[in-house]
Amino acid sequence: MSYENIRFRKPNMVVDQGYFYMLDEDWDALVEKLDDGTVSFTYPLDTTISNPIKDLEQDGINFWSLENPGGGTVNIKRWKIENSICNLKDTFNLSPGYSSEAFTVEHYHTTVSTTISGGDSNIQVSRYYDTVISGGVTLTLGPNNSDQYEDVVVNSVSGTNITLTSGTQYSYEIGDGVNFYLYLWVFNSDGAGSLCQIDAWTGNLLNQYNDSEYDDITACTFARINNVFSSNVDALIYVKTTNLKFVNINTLANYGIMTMDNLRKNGSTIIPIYDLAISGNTIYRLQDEATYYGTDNDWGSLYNYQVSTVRPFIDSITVSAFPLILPANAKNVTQITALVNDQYGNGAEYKPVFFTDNDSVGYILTNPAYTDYFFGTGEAKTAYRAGVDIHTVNIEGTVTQYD
Amino acid sequence: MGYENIKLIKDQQDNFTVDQGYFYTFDHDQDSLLQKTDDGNTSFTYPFDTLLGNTATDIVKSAEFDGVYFWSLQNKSDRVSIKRWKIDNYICKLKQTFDYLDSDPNHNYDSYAFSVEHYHTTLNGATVSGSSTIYLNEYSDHNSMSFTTTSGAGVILHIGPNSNGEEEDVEVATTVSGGVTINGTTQYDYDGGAAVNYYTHIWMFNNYDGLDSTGALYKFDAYTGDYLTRYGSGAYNSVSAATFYNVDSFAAYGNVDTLAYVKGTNTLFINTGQAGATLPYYGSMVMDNVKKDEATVRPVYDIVMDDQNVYRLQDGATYYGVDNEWTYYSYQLSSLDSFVTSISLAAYPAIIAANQVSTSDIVAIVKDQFLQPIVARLVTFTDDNTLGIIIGSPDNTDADGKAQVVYKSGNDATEVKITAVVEQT
Repeated sequence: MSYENIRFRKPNMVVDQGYFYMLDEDWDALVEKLDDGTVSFTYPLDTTISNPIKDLEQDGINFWSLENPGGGTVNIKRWKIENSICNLKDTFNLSPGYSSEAFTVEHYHTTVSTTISGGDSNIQVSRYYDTVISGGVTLTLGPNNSDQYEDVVVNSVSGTNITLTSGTQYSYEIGDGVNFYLYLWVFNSDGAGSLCQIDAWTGNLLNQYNDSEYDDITACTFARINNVFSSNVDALIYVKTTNLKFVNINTLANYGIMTMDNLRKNGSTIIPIYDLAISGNTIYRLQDEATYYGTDNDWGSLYNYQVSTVRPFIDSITVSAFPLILPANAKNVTQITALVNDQYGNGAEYKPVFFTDNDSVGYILTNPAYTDYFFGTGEAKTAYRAGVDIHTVNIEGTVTQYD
Repeated sequence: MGYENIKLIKDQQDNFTVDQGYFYTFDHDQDSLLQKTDDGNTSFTYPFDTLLGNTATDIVKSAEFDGVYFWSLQNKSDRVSIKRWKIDNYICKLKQTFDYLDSDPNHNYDSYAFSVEHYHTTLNGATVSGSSTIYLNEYSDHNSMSFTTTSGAGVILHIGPNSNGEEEDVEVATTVSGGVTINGTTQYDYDGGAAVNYYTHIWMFNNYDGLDSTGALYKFDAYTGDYLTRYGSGAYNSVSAATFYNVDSFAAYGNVDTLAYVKGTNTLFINTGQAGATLPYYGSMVMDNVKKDEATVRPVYDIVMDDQNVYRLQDGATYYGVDNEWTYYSYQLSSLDSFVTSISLAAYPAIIAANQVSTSDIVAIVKDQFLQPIVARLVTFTDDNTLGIIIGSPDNTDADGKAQVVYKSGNDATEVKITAVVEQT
């Protein structure tokens, strides 16, 4: 079938450095696949599972799975690849009052910013020391140049200095990885819908935000989004119909909303998205069908990804004229305005719009015209001078993106 | 049918082992150990001196060869039965039987795969009849040489054959530098380089961990059959193929004696010599036992290794994108030599404008079957767009197996397929 790629058997997915991971409860394995669907590796589970995996997440170190067996219970498990095996590390059975098909783990990635020698209990990292790193947080350091990792617990933070409860076991260079996770965010469809914040270390429910907005969510993730919003943000990201919503977890307000193309060619039937992963600037949507260039493609029992892009990208263009009616005297002009938006509904900045008309005499005065650079309106303006024939003139605007 | 070779009968010859190019299978229906050649011809037959039975539960599910003895595993209705056999005077003679009964109050048994921990070395210098010290080229300082049975006996070395075709068993008393002392003395003369074989433990993949159906690897004394310990893990559940072999595929470890078993699409290599609550792995190797839909795993019914070849007993195989379903069991090969196995491709960004200006970084990561990077190998990139171009191809893989080029877009809005090709040299 057309446009197939990873050919997953199960509706869960994580992407990391060009590899696609799926937890298969039939194979009892974490399956690593290539873009063309080839199995590149499998990691057997040390603990077999019987319930379907509804969602899979990765925090840079651990894989996390969600099972929704029913009866008001949801099972969230933390797994880690160790020595060729995918080992179960934690199990949180959420009950009663839970039914979910989407969750994510709030996780952060930064790097060592000053050299660490083995035994050091004061360290510095390049980000998050002034926000989410605080006493009690467990950081995973590594790998270092000997491929070593370790977990360290933060005692306190003062300025850029992070004091650990005990010295590090290994040495680390500037730029070595630092990963940590804090909370689970579970979209709960029990009742009228809620978003649950859960301590990812204990499984305890901390907050529950009731809102039908959070009902029937099937795909979400957590990622750092750079160069899109007014500042770089770490966002909870979830799919709601054809929109992707980027949520500030501190306020639950949206940083932004992005439209996607998960619609059949009839323009009204929404294509379900079963899982979501972000790698670099690319959003991978796990689906069992996709519409490409006006053609619906049904993938049967298998799941594949369709991509969206995180970086602002031209998504739509509309062209209007004022006035709309001109005398056909080869003299009068009308102002032509093209409105160019990206997938976030924001005006595209400084993009060339090429205009054409189908009148043999009439012509566009300024071509191409660039969209507004300073105010983000997305507007590119030009003018059209009338021809001499009385008829409807079609004016088309074509915009492209070079960055 | 395509790619068939040894043609073992289903539900009758569900097991095999290899020795010097010959394939051996226990056939409970023919009451014989069959020796077959690569093309499926039966080259010899060794009748059993003790019948295995003719019911479905009498089928031998796994066969092993330790250099001297053949071993069989049957998963019968009330027990798992492991038997040790030896070809002697044209007959396959039963030497020992270990039954692991379902009636055991502490364990349930349900197994389709096992192996025997066995070692092979040679005599270091000539050994004359009456010797009480034997010098060996390997393993004299290996912990397996200190193996003691649950009845207190030392490991048994099988020496020979010598130039007269004679062979004998001797029991190790102590280890000395470069060799061992034995209880008693040798009976025959041997030249230097004569074969010395011995075995220590039976490793059984049980679908039960005690009484729980979660899976465990059981360790038994191969001389007494006594239970020693078990290692619980779901990774040991539903295992249908295993073997024990000396492997040199892991650079960090050198030559290692390892228990290898198939789980899904991978063969995993266990370090059985390690103490502790869990057994570490030397590594894992992906295989191509997936149907062309890339979603259905082909079962591997038995596995055996010979030289650098891995023979997988299957009832079908996918070659070059075509599924071949077989009437009989045949083998499909893997290699223990590092081989280019996967190329992952990613584009950053994955969506660009079709304007003949925009570019995307294309990164390929080349790995072998052990998930190790393939270094310093040329990767050639191509695209299927008429105007889009690849810049910088071919590119050599770096220490991480990465090769990188740039794609510049064409001018039509379409999905562009970029292909990376690397040659095994």
